[in-house]
Amino acid sequence: MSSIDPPRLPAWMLEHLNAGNSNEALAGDLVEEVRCGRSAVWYWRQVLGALVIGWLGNIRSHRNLVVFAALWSMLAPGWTLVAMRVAEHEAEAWHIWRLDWPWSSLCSTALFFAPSLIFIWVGMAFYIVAQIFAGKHFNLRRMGRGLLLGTSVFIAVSAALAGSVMLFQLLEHTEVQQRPMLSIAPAGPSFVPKALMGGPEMTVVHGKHSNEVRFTTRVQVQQNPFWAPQPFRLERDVSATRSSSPLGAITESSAWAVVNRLPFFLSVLFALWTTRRLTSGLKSIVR
Amino acid sequence: MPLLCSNADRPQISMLTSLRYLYFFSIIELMADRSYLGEFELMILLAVINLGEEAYGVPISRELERCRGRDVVVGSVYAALERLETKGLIHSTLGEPTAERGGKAKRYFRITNEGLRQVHETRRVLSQLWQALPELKRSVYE
Repeated sequence: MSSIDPPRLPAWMLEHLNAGNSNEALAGDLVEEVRCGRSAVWYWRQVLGALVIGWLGNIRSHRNLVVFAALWSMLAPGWTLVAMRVAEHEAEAWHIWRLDWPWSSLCSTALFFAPSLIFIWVGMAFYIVAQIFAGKHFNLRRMGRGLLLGTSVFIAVSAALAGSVMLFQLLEHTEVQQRPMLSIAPAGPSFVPKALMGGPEMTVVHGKHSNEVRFTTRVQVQQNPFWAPQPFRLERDVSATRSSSPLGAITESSAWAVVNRLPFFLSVLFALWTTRRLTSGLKSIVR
Repeated sequence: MPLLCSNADRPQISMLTSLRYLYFFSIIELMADRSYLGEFELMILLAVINLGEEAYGVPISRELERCRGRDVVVGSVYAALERLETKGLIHSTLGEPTAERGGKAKRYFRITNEGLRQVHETRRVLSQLWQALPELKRSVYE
């Protein structure tokens, strides 16, 4: 038997990202096989296979949680609609839009995230209470860890999605010859794009049979002053029109609604996932 | 049994209904008890019996590779071993960590009495099915 070590990356992945229970024995077996002459490719294949099998088994054993997270995230658009109305009202009442930067951005960001996080935490509480009634035990440490993890996942996924949407909009509305660059204008709240300041503007259009809510994102773009000094303004409807009722938003199945539900689904799922290995893996990544 | 009945009959009906429920759930319990071994699980159990004291991940996987003639994902072997252990057909013990394995311990597996019983039961059923096969085989090839 030689003293050849297996590749480091798959060894780390097996140790920290595998959801199975026999990680140590499995890792030892694979090391033994590599030292008996198995190739690095064989080791990679074994590790990836073990990860897939481990996670599939884990998802199967957590199927109640996956179903709950999917159902709870279905309700998210309805809640978001109600929360946005309240937030708009509160923002007007507190004169948030008249505040100087960065307070306006901070307030509007808080108004955007707070209702969503409350929705996630209520979902977690609902699931945990149901599980306690079903005879499962939860400790405070696990719940605290879940709260932090869920919050972090929601903020990260929302930021990634918002960034992707903004980038897509800018690329879509920019011609090759006149490609604008986002630049910082002199001080004032208007230099931050509205989309970054807490989501799109909402106007309610009263129709004959039903009301429609129109979301508009005004992105103020300035061209590079060294290239072309004339600024221009870009406006675009993020999502044309959608139902104004929370029930209509819940039953909506467009791509936009699915994307809107994704951060909620992932947050609830990660927050309530009780896999010890996953959290230890995330801890080691953070360290 | 009539669908509409007097109040006096009600306790009797509810008792009958509950007995039916009990019967229904007892069938489900029996179905769970009588579940036969899967192909891969049976192979692993036979490998564990064959290897005796030295049954841990590496020799079990090699035995399966030798018999099947193709590569085996060791993770799938462990997943099946965990399932068998949950069913009470095998039990495992941890060995001492060794330097040859990067300081990782071996997990040894042994078959339980229940595991042996299930193997024999599966063998009996399969033997009966195989005994009935030559007639079919002849008819297929003819």
